[in-house]
Amino acid sequence: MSIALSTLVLFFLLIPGILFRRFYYTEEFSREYFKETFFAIFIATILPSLFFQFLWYFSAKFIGFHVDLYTLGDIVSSNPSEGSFQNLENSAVGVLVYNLSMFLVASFSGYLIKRLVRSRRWDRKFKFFRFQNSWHYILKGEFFDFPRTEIILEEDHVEDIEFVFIDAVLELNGNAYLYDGILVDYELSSDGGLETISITNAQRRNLFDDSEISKNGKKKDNSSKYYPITGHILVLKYAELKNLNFTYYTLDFDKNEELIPRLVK
Amino acid sequence: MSNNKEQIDKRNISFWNTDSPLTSRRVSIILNSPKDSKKLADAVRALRHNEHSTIKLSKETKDRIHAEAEKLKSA
Repeated sequence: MSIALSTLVLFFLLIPGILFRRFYYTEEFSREYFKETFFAIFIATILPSLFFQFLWYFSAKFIGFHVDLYTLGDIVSSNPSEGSFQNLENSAVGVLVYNLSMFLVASFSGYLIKRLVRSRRWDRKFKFFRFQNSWHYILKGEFFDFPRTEIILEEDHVEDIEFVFIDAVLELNGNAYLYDGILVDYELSSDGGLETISITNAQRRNLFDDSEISKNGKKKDNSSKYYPITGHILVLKYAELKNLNFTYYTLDFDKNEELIPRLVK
Repeated sequence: MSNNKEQIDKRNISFWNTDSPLTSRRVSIILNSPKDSKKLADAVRALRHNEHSTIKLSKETKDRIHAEAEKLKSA
């Protein structure tokens, strides 16, 4: 058997699965395409490949076209006959249309199924459909819809979250500082973890300058302890952060038709 | 601005837009104005100290939010 040729044919047979996966993990989940182990990728590629190969084989048969498996088997055998290559050459256009249509449908299926899973929120409702980008679900507040989560939104929905306020503890020269601000962007690292978060209207204070709690349980004002950080955005490297606090807000109107922030509940 | 929940105050996802932004369109407009953006952050900080603090948006930002809301409604 020609190892090079059989490997090439095997790769060719796996192309529908590769394309399906590539178009399923797009946009916010594109890093996940490269994140999994080789074995996981192999399995996740084989199953859709088998599905599309079977579907196309029987569909072609159903509409009266014959897919010659003998020719395919002969080509990857140790002693392929000249007739098989001749047969392949004679049916080149048919083989091309057969495979290109399969690749196109596999790609489009991956793209559409991902959109269906996200728009129907199946990835939040069912763990089976959940993407591994856990930061996406935290930063966008979508984890509120997970069945196992202990915190649920009773009055609002995830879609009502209008912005996320971040508190981050960072250690600089042996001192711990608390940074806060409105989350405006984030970057994922190549392994799917968080690389950076970007906040706007940031300010910081030394962690020792905590608010004192008065006898009636209210926080005393410690705003003078904060140092405002001017600039459009402050980028914080996740690797340097000690911990992160997320608060999810929506905006309401008060009686004077002025906006007022409110925690989602 | 009305008190009704419009698309401008949500981060909706749809079949063709499955990646919701980090902020609603309304907040995105507020953040584009340095002054109003600061007011929003300050209002959150006040709220955390149990103080009632509204965000008095500038006329430009109010107009932009209104125009965007109208655009989304007619879309």
